[in-house]
Amino acid sequence: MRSVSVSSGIATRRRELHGRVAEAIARTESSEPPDPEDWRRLGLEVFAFQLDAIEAYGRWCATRSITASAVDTLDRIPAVATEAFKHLQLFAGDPADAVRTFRTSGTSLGERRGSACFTSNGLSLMDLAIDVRARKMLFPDGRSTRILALAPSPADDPERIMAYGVARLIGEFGQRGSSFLVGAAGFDSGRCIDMLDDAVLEGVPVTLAGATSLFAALIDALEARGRPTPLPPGSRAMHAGGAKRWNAPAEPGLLGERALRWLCLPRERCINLLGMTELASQLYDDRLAASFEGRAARRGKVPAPWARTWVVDPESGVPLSAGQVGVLRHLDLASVERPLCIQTDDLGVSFEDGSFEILGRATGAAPRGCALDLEVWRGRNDS
Amino acid sequence: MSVDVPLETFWIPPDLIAGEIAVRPELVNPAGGPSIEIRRPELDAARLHALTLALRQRARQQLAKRPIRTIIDALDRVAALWLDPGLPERRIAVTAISAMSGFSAPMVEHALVLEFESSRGIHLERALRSELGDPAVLDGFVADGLLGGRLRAIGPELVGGIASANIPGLPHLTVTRALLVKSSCLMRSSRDEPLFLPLFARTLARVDPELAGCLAVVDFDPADERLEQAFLEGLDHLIAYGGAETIASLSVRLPARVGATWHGHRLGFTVIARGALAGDLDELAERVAYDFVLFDREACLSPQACFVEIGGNASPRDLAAAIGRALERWEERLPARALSTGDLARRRQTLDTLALRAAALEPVEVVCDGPRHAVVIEPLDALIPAPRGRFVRVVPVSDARAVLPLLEPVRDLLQVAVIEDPEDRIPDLLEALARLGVSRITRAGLAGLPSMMWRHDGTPCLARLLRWVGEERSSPAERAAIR
Repeated sequence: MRSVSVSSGIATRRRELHGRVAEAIARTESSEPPDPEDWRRLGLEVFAFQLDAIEAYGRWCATRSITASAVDTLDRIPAVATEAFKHLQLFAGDPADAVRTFRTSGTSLGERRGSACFTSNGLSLMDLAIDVRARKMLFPDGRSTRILALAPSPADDPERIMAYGVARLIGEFGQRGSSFLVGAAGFDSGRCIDMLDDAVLEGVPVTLAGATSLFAALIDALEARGRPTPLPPGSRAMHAGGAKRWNAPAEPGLLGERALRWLCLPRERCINLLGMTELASQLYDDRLAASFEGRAARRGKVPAPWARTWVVDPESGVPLSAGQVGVLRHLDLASVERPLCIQTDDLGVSFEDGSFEILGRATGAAPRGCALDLEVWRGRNDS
Repeated sequence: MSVDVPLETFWIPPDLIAGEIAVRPELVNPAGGPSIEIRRPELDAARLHALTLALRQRARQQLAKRPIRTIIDALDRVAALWLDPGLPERRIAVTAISAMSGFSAPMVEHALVLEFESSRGIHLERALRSELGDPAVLDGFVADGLLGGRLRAIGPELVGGIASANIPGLPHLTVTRALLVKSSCLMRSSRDEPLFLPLFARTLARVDPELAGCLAVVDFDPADERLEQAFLEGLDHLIAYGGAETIASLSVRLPARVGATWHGHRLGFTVIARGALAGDLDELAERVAYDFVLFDREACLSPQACFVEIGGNASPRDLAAAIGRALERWEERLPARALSTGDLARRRQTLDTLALRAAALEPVEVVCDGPRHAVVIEPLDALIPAPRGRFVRVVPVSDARAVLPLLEPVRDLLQVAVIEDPEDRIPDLLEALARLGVSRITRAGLAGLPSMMWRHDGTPCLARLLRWVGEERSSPAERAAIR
């Protein structure tokens, strides 16, 4: 057990770092944004704090002879496996300080759910990250839209970070009439289509925001109705989770084509987002922002200025050069109180400019015989 | 050796159906190895349908008339030939399967030897006796004293097989089962390893052209529904190996009149009673490790965890360390297959998570974290599959019986229980495991070496193919007098 004075010391440092990271994130919207060196210094400070404050992480690094002074670049900060979030409460400080816990989607049997705890300052920092990023990547035109959430509300699913994030978008960017379309009975595609029809009649632009699988289900329902529903100008769609959790819509290109056909949404108005319970920041496709800024879109997803994504060798953890397939590792300075660097099991490939694409979940090769593959096992328990 | 001639992924006996089979060449270029050209057949549903009809005819005209002894003898000669390292088909198979599947060449060689050692005539005959009583029921009516009459067993005309790629050489077992019940056999190879069966058929054709004329091997994209329909509709019985998805999709498409034997996912495990820890620990570890090494743990008989009783002369930690050393020795004899990026990623997640949990002072440990194998200590709430490859999860338990509740959630998937209990201290465990769902109990080092008599997945795989005829001419009174 830690003494009260150590705990309060950690809480003080945590508060102070939250403030500095928030200030830096806010400054990205100013005429004098932080430069890479600023982020490097701040990232290393957060890392040094976490070595002291997240006990298991500190001890784990110590067993590998990794100290704060030995790490001088962001890419050398040891990453925590996302699987670890299912077993340990990885939190910088006294868990009693947390006001909110989000959990990864879980199963009834066999697999644990990962958890991520937030203090009120941590939530505020995530709010800021969501706002700044959405302003840049989803609403670069500054347009107010009616947001239809293909996700449950936080009241219905308080532990789902996607619900929290979409609620934040509604609160900051949504017009009156924005609403959540996933209730206790699941996704109501009929109601969603009615609301789209209303928006069309009223000429109010719509933002569809939520789960990739539900976006695909909506398009299925529109297709079944048999006539396209051309959304008013200014409409857009942002879906999340595709390549990570759902198999069918893992081909964003195909989903984009269907969105064009049935919602008349141009490809650049239909983007995918990578959000994870273990991260406070989100990774957007660049297309929408690029189209408004009148520049060529970067390929795949782009990390926020306060985040980094590397594609690493799965065994050695060494970052791979552009074009090589490996696993994604994310660093997010908005994760001050949870490990800022996480190692996923998502396969991906990076590009020269630092953007990257997800290629799918590391399920291993398709199960080939009668030995049960771990992922199949998970699928069995998911169903 | 290198393979410098194109290899066909199919076998269609000469004169079975009219016309040439067009082929589509494909270059297989395994990482770091030389390319192999394979030729996949261009089939259409009509050809496949014709094939099933022709095979049925062969079963009626040829197999039905052959004494079972001659079939056993032919299969025995084929097995004997495949046990010769110089057999050209075997040499090609080792290189080609290794290239296509990623198994090391020594592992492929080893697997082939195990497959054919357990498929000699004596084993086939024992399997028939074990399941049928007198194999002569396959040739004609056989007097049955208990019945006071005679028995006859009729096999199907056409057994279809869907092969998997997880164990080199395993697909021969389906062919063997079909021929042993005098059924023709139509195999669909695995897309990942389509080369073994045509090579096996080639040997069979040399030994016994008539028998080989009752076997066809095809290779088509499972997503091609028309071909799959023609394949399934032509059968009397399907023997399918594969994952849950494959089996679920096949079972809805299989016509109701076609019988089926499904070999899906299964889980094995090892239990080390403390009595086993009193002896030579390295010798024990060698055998335990072998079960995790064999087929690189891709088999349904591969263990997913090693439960070790605490309180013995050696601790679970001692055994785990010894297993780590044994895995290194096995690596020299049977090198591990290279894991895919995805498999490596899953494995790394598990190992790094365990290391972090150990740092959080949980009772877990990464004992051995090598690039080719890993040994960890981790208590479990329930048996779960370990990451792919050579990954040994040692699970300390207070008593061997404590594994039962850990197996309960997966009882429908249980297969082999490896029990090391030299003192026979826990005979009640065997009964409990039998009731729970395991279909095979063995000792360490034998997990992947079932006999031909084992009821695979708990079912008599030959007998279930047969239809029985009883000639019952005795009256009830006469039957009552039978002693």
